[in-house]
Amino acid sequence: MRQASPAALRLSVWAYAHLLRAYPASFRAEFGGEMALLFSDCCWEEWRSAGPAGVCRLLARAALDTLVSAPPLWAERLEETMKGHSADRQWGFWLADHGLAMGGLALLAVGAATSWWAMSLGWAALAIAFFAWVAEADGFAVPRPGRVAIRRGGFDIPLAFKVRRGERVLLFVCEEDPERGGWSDVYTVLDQPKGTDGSDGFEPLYCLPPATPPSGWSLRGRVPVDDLRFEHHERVVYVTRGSLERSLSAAGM
Amino acid sequence: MDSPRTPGSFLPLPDAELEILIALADGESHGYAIMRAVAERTEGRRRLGPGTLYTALKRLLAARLIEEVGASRDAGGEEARRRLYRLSHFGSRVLAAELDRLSTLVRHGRRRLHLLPSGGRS
Repeated sequence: MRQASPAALRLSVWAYAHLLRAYPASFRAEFGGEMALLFSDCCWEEWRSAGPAGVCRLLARAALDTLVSAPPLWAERLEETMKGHSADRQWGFWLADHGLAMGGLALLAVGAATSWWAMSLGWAALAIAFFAWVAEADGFAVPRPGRVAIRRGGFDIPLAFKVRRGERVLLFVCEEDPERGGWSDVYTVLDQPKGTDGSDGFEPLYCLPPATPPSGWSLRGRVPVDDLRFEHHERVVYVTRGSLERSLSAAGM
Repeated sequence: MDSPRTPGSFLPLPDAELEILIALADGESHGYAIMRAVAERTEGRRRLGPGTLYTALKRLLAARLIEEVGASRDAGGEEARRRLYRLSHFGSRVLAAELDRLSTLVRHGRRRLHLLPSGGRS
């Protein structure tokens, strides 16, 4: 039995690392490492005092603890997401966002008066709309207006890149750059029209490492990448305006 | 625009947050040490799970009742990943107000149960 102990501990820690996925990404990025470390310490303690049964009990308690503590964080996250989106919203996109749900409600109403299949379609539309709403809150790419292009490296490097969870990105804003015309503040960039990818003279927010700003650019601050929400469109990566505004505001920029 | 930040506006404190503040009243500490301190003080009756502990720490940080000091000093490897927290000045005022509130509650409760002599009662 004792030979199995390290494997049992590793398995528990591995299981707990997966349990952590129940928390929102930004919370995981901030505290996930420490939580896993703390759980690992507890595992050793339980193993020494109560053996494998103690470790199993600990894992069960941790699972219960996750069930209790994760939902309030998701509720907070949803609330923040909805607040941020209100700034982005334009009528056309509002309809695009809610058309399915509205259609579902209409079908339900028609179905209630006429036939069961219209009601079924209505429920299906509502379910899809709800899934889209939840998925969007979890950071899946859902096309939205008001995007800001992000570029990496030099000005001419292709735009496809990946950002790792927990990575901190640097935001540079051009303040005085006569050659490029200059951008006086970040909100000029935020007003960039939808679909502009930066290749036609727009040089929007400059983001991601290297750690030192290129000449003509000044460092405005650091923003945790998990607070930003990204969208991919062709070869351009966008950050949503709402999430960027929230991050900048939280960082006092 | 913001409501005034008075200690009273944070009361009553949820259990986990109160336990954490009491643990931090002794000085700066990291998550594992806080958890141990709570378990020891309550003789194992109260065990904060990692989720409960860190969600409470997050709320306390957001409310600025505690501050992050940084990683453990004189430590390398995993120890260096542990962040230290300490009670802020405002946090200690909130803790004091909560303890006052609880002691008043206890005093009244005990008086009702005739465990303490009240003013007119012998």
